[in-house]
Amino acid sequence: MITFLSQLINGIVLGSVYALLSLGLTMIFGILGIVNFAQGELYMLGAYVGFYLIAILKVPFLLALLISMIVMGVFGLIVERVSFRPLQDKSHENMILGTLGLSIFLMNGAMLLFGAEPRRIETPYAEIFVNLGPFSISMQRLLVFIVTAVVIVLLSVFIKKTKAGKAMRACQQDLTAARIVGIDIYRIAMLTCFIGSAIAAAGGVLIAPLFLVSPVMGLKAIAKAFVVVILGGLGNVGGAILGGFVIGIAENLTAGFISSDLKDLIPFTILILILLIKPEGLFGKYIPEKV
Amino acid sequence: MAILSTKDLTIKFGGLVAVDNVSLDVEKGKTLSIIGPNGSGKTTIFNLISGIYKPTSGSIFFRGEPIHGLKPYKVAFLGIARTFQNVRLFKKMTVMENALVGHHPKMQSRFADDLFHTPKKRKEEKEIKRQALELLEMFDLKGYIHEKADNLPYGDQRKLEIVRGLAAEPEVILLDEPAAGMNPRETEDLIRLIGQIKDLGVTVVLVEHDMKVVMDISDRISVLDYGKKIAEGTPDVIREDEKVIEAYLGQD
Amino acid sequence: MEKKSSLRRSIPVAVALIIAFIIPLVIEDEYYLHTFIISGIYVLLVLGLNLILGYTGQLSLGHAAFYGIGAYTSTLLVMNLHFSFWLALPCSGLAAGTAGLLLGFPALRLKGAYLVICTLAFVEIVHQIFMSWESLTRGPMGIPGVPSPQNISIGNILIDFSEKQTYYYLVLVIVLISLLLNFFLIRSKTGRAFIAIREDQIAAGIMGINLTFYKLTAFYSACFLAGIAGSLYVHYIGFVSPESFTLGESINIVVMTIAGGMGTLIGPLIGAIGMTFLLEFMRALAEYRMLIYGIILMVLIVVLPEGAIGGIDILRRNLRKPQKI
Repeated sequence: MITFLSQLINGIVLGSVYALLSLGLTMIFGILGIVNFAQGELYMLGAYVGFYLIAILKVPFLLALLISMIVMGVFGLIVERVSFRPLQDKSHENMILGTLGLSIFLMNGAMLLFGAEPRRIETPYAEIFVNLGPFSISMQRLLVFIVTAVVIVLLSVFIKKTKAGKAMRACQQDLTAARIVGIDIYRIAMLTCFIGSAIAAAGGVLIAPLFLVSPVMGLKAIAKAFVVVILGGLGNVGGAILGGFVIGIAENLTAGFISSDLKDLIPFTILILILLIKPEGLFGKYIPEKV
Repeated sequence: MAILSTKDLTIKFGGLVAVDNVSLDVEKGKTLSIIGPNGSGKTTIFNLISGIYKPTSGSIFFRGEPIHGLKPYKVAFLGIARTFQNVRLFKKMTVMENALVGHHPKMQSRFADDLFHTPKKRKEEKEIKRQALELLEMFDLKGYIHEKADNLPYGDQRKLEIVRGLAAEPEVILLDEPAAGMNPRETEDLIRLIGQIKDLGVTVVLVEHDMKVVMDISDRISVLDYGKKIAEGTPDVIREDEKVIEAYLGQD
Repeated sequence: MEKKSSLRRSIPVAVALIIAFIIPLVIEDEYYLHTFIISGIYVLLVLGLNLILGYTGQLSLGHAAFYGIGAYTSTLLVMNLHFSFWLALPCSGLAAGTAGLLLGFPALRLKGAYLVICTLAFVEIVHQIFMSWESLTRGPMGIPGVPSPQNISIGNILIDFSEKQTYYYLVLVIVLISLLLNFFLIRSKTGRAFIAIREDQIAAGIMGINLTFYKLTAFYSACFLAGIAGSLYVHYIGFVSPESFTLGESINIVVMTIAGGMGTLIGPLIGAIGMTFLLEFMRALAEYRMLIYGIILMVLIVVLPEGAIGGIDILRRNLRKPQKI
């Protein structure tokens, strides 16, 4: 029982990070129509920014998190202008290849700049333990969940209540209609990329103290993010959040009870099953192609 | 008996009923035109017949056999060809290659033949090329054979699409707004071209806005509005029909 | 625009053939021979992916999985079941091809991003299987000591496949056969069907092309080639391990396919040989090579989606105007 609960908690922690990573991916798809293979690299770069702030400049963790989010948000703006905009009128395959190229570029750029060895981030939170009933969890892990929850709540409020948020939703529903009512879709695209990158960066910084920071961490994570996004439906924000937790928990329960070798197999098998049965995801809608 | 017919054909996209209980038919060798305002469901009917869409209800019969719900390639094999409103040629292929693709359903070569360049394949390729050249010549496109399809002038692209459709020796050809974007002289050419198609014994079903073409070549006309059939008959009958005039026959 | 006469086209081909056969006799440096052998193996991989991506227009990120399946199949057949290499080679192709059907059947029904993601998941799954099924594959440690093909003696001559020169010819012959068959395939009903699918899937269906059948055919053929490549690789290097068959490697192959120019026969040659040599020489530049690699891909997609061949084509088009004879 204890094992189950502790694996569950670990699953929720991991799931939080997956949710953050996938949120950006799904938002960028929903609004810009671009499948961003480089999302993992935004997450990875966020982690590196965090690493430099925390380990080298000794900035407190939460402040570093915030700064990293802002820095990567701005980086996201650059990516949007330089990479995404030219890709929008290309065919599906070319668009994917374009973001793939960006991903390779960023990953190897990171290898060049930071070196290929994994780095550690140490924070005081790792030492503090919080007691939850029969067992304790490190503050660091708890923080991951708390920060994720805060981000999600803030994001929901933003999307539902603010003018910009409503504009984003309009763009996601129907780009042409949004244009007609006077929404500046370029501004919204930029905003989406800012938010998407910032959230991905948050995921990177949060997970960094728990595992290691390396240039390839994005590649590993993006595959899982795709599983989440397909599960929840491409473009579906709620689906991404829920899916993130489902996959995180599934992975950890598998590792705990079946075999830790197979833990990666499960998410990908789920993915293929979903693609076979209901490619729109659990919550997506089937849109027939217009001829 | 009608060679091609639909019975209570209906398709709904979510809440929108694009085609509403439409029954049409055309007899072998005759020409049927489907007209109606934009959005009345004409192209959708073509998409249903050629297998791109599956009907929500109703049926489609070809030579007496049901064909609704069949995949497009099967419909092609049965003998129904089609062109598109916004010419869908294989742009990067040459004119000759586009015409050769049209012969696909007639060819017997199998994968192994193609891969190992067997005598069977070589013989068939030669024959197909000869037939394609003949067809291209008949429609005055022979001069372009090595040109990439998207380099052709618009009118010739339309002609090529029709040639591609005729290559498989279909029994019925569905022409989707072939006169779109044509000037009066090109329209005259088109009317003659459709005459040539009829001479080949192919049944023509036409979706068209250009009334000159429609009145000139049709044996019968069906009129659609908002997905429903509102009138049907010979050109003279339709010309006088009040409902049709009201729906859209304002200009000509 | 007139088609080049057959004679004019055969001359460069003949010259290239002669050069290809002479290389091991002229170049003694084992390092170059090694690079040629590796590029030959990549040519097979890229030829295959070219069928999927360049001809039918489907993007698959799973190709490394089939490469790996071929490699492991060949290893196990030869080392555990004592097959001769010459039997194991086609079997590896068949195994990889069959795996291709297994993935292709469900996956090719998907469109665009969904197909890509499905193939991505597949390569991850296969990689994981290579890592975890230790009783079969020895997991991350890999299987060392994979033998090169048995020596053949013809009269007084001993053909020793452990020598690079000999292996070069083996790879060369297989590459030439593949190129020839590919050449035949493209100029046929099947080849035109492939291109039609790439150009406009819906119109292709209307023309009577059975989309599922042709996509699967392209997929199977590509995976068969990948399996052969895997077998050749493993009996050359002498060692097989999961790290050679990852998503990263699939991406590698995709980049080579695009860089050379898709949808042509020369494209894969340029892409595979060009990039293998480029990457080897850039070892000197070590870290920069992957960076440049990523830039190449991005630039290619935005500026020259048709790769090197596209660039040449654009030049040619600007030098002459279309004419009606």
